[in-house]
Amino acid sequence: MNEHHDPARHLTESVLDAYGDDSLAPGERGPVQAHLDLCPECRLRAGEYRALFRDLAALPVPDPPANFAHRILDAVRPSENRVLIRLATRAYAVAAVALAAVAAAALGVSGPGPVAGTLASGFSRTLSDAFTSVLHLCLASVDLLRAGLDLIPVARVLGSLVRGLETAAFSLAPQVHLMIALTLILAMLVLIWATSPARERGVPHVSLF
Amino acid sequence: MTSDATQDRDLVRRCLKQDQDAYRILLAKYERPVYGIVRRMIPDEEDARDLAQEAFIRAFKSLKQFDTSRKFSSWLFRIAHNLCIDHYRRRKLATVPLVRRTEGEDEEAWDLPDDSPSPAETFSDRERSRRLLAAVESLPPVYRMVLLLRHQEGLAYDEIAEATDLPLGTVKARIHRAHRLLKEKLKRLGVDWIPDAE
Repeated sequence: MNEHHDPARHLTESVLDAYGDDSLAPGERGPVQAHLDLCPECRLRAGEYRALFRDLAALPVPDPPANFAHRILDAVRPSENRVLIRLATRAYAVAAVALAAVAAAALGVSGPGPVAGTLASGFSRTLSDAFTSVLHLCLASVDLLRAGLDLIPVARVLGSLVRGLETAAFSLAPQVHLMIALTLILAMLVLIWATSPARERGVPHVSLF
Repeated sequence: MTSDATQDRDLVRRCLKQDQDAYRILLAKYERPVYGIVRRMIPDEEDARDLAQEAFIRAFKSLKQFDTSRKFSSWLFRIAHNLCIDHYRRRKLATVPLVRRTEGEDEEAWDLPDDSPSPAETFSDRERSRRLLAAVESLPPVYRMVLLLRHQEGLAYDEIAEATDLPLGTVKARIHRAHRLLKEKLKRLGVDWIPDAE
């Protein structure tokens, strides 16, 4: 924008615009002002820009509607319901973990005896039958897998490993199977709890944990 | 950083600690500027309300991503600006394209409807203001946005560049183009301005 340096020529629209909008570079403002002091025509045009920008700044700004803030604050406020749900689910999780821990400890640590026997009978014959059925189903799957592996010479080593596991599984008492299952459940619950995103972020979040 | 920006930064930190009062203060401070811009950008009142609210919700929910060395207001306007542009793109408001491009120029002037008044028509201040507003709202959105940020919110050019994610040179060009388009429109409308005394 050097054209305004010539006092004999009128200022361009872009210079007048920038002058009116206070966006001239510091070094440009002086020569422009000097020209305006001497040129009534440019002064008039500059005044028009000033007036336009003044009126633009004075245009009414629409007010937000009533209740505008409610939705926004609701979105960031930790809801009491959400807190209750979170507390309830966490209480449930704590109870489940505690129950699993007690059962696992009683069955595993106490070993065969009156406590383990009483606890095992508490799970009822139906549960034991169901567990046995599931175990046999798993073993049948293992047999199927083993038969498949036998077809591949390289996999015979794996087949031996599977057979070893099967033998070990048969040698364990049903209570030990139950103890292993409960311990795995316990470990899974603790893992989920520890890696819960809501717990890490510390923000309102509806989830099991 | 100005004291205003420092205050905003402190409020943001309090918000991150789930201080609900800090959210309220930030909201009270910026709800009118943000809604004012969005309302001028979006013709439908309900859409404007929803978008302005969405801008705040997005800002508040992503405060962790906010760079506290920058101005919160520019960041907030940027979110609102992006939502407005997305809204136009989503609605495909073909009658109001974001930018008209023609050969030889990056961004060309706008064809404005001829709604000139009769020669005998004169304007009161209120009528002039109404027509000025109509002229502003008839500008293409990209020009309207920078014009509003400049003259309604009084943002500096570099703040507008930050709010719109545009280079400073583009912002200057768009603002000057917006002024030119506005003057052309007002000239057609026969609106005269009483020049400010220098």
